[in-house]
Amino acid sequence: MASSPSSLVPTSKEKKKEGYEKDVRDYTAEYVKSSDANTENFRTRLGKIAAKYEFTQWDQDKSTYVAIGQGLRKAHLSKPQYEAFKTSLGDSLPWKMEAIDGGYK
Amino acid sequence: MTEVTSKNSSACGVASLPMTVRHYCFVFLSVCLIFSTRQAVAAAHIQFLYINAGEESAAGGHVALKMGDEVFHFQHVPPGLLRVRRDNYEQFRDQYADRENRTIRMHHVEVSEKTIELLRERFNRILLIEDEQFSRLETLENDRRLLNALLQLSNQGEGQADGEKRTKLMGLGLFFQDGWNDTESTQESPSQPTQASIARLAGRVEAAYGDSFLTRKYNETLHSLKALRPVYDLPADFFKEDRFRSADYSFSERYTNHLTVLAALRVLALGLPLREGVLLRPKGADFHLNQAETQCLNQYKGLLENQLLGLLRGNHPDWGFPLLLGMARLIALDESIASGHLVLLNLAKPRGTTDEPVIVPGENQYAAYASGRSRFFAAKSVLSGAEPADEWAYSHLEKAANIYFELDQAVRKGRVARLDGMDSMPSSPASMALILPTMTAAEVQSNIEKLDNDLAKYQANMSDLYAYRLIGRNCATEIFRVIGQAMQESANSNASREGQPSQPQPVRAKAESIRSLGGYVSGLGVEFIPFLSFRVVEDNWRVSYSETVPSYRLRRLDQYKALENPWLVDLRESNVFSSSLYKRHGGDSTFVFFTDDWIFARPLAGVFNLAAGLAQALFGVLTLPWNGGENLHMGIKGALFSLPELFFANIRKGTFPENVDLGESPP
Repeated sequence: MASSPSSLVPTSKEKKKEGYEKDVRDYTAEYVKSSDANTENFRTRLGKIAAKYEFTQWDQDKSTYVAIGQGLRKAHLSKPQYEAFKTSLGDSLPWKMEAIDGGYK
Repeated sequence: MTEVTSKNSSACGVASLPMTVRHYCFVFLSVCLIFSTRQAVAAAHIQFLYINAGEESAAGGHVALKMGDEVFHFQHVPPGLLRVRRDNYEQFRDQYADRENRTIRMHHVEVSEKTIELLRERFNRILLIEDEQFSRLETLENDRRLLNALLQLSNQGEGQADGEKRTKLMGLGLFFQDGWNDTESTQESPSQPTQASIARLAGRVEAAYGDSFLTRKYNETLHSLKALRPVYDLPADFFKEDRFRSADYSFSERYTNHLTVLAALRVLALGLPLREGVLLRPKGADFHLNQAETQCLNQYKGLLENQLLGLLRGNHPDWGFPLLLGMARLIALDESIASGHLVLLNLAKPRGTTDEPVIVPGENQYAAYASGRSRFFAAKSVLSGAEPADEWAYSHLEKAANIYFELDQAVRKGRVARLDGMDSMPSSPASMALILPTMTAAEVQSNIEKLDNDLAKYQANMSDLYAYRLIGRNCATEIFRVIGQAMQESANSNASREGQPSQPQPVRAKAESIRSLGGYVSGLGVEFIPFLSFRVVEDNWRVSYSETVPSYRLRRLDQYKALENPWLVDLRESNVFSSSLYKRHGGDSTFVFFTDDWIFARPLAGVFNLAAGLAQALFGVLTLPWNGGENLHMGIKGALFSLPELFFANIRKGTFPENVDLGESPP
């Protein structure tokens, strides 16, 4: 079995952030298209994606919700579907929903 | 092309200009159009990588597909499965070319940006689907371990000291000693005053959410933990290769998240201090903070406090660890601001707690020191930049400062630098005594039986879908299969858009592959052998050029030969006894001569290597009762990997697992 590449080779913080946002966007797009969308599972997975990038305050960071908005756009949802996901994934909080809107545009 | 260009030129209103001017306009626009068309059709490259054979991981070599900075490849993982991985190229190169000492060869294939996007999307989708499926397998196995521990706890009675069951929790070791028991938390430091940073945060929590918020939250979490029940009912349609299904938030994840939250709330409510040794207080001018840097850290502290307040009211399921780590960082930030010197969480792991120590060899120490210093200053410069610091910048600085401090100390004291644990964020795991949910032993037992049933079904299905097979399903065949899927998808989409008549699917995929990559490789022919797949790609795809990234040892030999007599270098570095580069370690089998850079003398060196392997195997038989067969195993392995050398083939190259290359320049 080949071992996993080490992370001691430094990755710039910009690249890490970009990678994180791309992963959140791609995961969101797949998640909302799946028939068993479950918000709790979604949040658990986001936590794991963030942990991979050593990012702990993801839930309180605007960039997470901008990336979620980009994922919703990538999934080509209808307007009502988009609104429903925006509310549930944004915890009905105005700042999170605004960030989702920002990523969706 | 000319006609199109001419039409476009007219459309731009050039027709009304004089003949000479029109002629120059025509030539200029034609050149622009030719250029822009080439850019649109084939302005980019993907790379097909072949990594030559190695002893530990792949005797037949390995292949991967590189797109930009990302490398997709399929890895053999236990128990006998093949799984897609995506790695950053720098890390991939470090692992394969440096640590595993294997040469990477790559074909640059000319493709359009659209093809890159198509392939990336396809590989990424496979990655997302497999991540969920493998994650579920892992959590079921974790559930099994937890339920077994809970069953034993249930049988012996909670609170009994003998055989107390524990679980490791991330972040717990920042504040609690190993083996902490929730019911004894107040005895952790009974006479110690409350930690000022934590007390300030607790004060803000009370002001924002009410006086009894922390107590209420603690009781709710404990109640919720006690009420936890696992649910096992695997959906019949869970397994489809092309279907994304999110993995459930498992029982063991819920349980450990609840325990971590309880611990974090204890710290916050009691204002507990950090444990001894958690903070790193490096001395020296390099770690001094000027006014602007102190101001920046102060702003970040404010941001972090607000984020921690938000965490307590959020729906984030695993907020215990972020709260523990955030509180520890708050303490470090307060001390940095007060002292005017950087104080950070200590990332060094205690000696003997890591399986694979990461050591910078003495000969690389000064280069590593210079690189580490430069990276530290680059990370620190963010504190005086225009942008406010955030967690990305702070954790980058935390890591860079830890690495630089350790390298600095090693150089000053003339000792080996140990970078164990500095490759990740400060997780500080420690164990905590389990709390038994309100389940009887019979209920736990019944859940174990249901889980075993699900787990067996799950493992069988995973095996059906992802079993590694040397010929039919390996790292090479899967790359071509996924590329074929992407081509098929693109062809279907084009056909439906253009209303074309239906064609058999493989015909469409082949035509699309010829258009996008210059040719078609099905993965069903000789290309299942990694080495031959590299040749097949060269013959079929639109390869612009090829390049080689030599293995670590070969690169270093070239460097030595530029400075010393090449004959002496060859002689000294030819064997494990006199080599200055290679240090013997338990990961490599027994051998004497390196044969990767020899061709004609390879069989002769192979005879010596075979003899060394057999001698160690014999010694292993004699010492079997004392060393558990380790000598025997390494001797047999050494002999086996020497056999191909007798026939001019090389697999073993010697590995450099502890080699650390921090890179040449700061990011």
